Amino acid sequence: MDLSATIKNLVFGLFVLSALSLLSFIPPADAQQNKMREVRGDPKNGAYVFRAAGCNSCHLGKDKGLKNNLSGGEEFKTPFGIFYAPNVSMSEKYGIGKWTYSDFYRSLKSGVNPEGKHYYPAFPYTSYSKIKEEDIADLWAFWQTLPAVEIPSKPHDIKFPFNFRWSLGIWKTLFWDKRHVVGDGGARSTYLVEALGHCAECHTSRNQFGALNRDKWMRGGSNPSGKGNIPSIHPKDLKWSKKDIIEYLTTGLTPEFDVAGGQMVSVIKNTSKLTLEDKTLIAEYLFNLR
Amino acid sequence: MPYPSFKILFCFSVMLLALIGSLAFAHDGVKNKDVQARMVLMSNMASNMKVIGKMARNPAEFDRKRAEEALIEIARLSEQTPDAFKKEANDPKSEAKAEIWTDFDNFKKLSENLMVDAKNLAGSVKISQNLRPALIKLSKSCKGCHSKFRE
Repeated sequence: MDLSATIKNLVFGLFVLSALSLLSFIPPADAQQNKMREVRGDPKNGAYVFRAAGCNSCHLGKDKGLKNNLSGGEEFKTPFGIFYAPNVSMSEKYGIGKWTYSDFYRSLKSGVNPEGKHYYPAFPYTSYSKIKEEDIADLWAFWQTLPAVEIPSKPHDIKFPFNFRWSLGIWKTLFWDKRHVVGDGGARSTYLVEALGHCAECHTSRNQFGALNRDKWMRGGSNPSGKGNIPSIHPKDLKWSKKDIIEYLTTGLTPEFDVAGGQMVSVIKNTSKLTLEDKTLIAEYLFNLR
Repeated sequence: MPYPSFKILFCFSVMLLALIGSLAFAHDGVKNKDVQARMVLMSNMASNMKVIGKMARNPAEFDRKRAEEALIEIARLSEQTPDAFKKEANDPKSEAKAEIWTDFDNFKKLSENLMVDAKNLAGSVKISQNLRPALIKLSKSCKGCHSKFRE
């Protein structure tokens, strides 16, 4: 290859990269449409959505005595650096107390903060973006009832070059696949697992850029935020009955009567409060994976 | 051909069981003997949970004496847990978090909680219907510790 061709390729590469970076600054259409709209949600359903989405699994603060203390602080060691769950309590100074509904909506649907900066996908917006609008409104209504906790968030400790948030715009363009894996998302079972439960965020392996390997859906992989492995929950590997899965989601007990550990303990705390119907739907989704 | 004596049969059975046990752990690939010992302790705990769990699922299998023995055994094993984890031993197969040794007092306290719960439950299981609440109480105790100290 001659020198001029190499330079042309380089310039073209830079052009594509710049175009992708620009794309990352354009807020998605759905976020723009909802920017000015404020809604009144149902906090009772919001509490249920809160549990199903496991918001407290990551954002729960150290002071467990305070109910729904969302001051964060949980540490997630990843190949890209250390993430600390931020304070998302109703504190105006340290949390999200000054947010509007559209700020909240955009964070879940587009993965951006009120200033339009991208969130790292350690916050599972790639799943939460599939949450229904009415459920987001209800969740926000419930959030208003939660306490303000005056503890500052710990800044993330991210390695170069991932510490440049604008680069996440490129990541979103290249790796954020918004399609559902099972069906079109209309089924509640898919909604519970792929949107609210965001089970794949841990139970599906990731590529070197941190994107989910959708062809290895729910088949486990190395722990994205700690040592060891996250087990497969795909029926090809996990030989549990639907009844076994429901029991685990209710009590944390495996068919061998081992007890859940690590992050799954707080997941179980939430799933145990779901209706039997929803737990059955989750079990059916997992059981029917092919 | 004369039958082997009871003593010989007994010794042979013990040796066979020990061999099977060691092979099982060889398959698990745990190399550190301290880690292996505490994993055996935890798996014994799970075996006793299984005794209670199976009876809770199938009330026809309810055996009050056996349930009580399992609960007492869980209490005994949880009493031994802090000692089993006292030494900071590691192995790639270990699921123990480093927090066990940085927050050992809390780890000890949670082990003691399980011991107290299991002892109290041992005296309270009278009918098969008592088993499910007992199982849930025990699993809550286990989760209280696992959430902080197990991967």
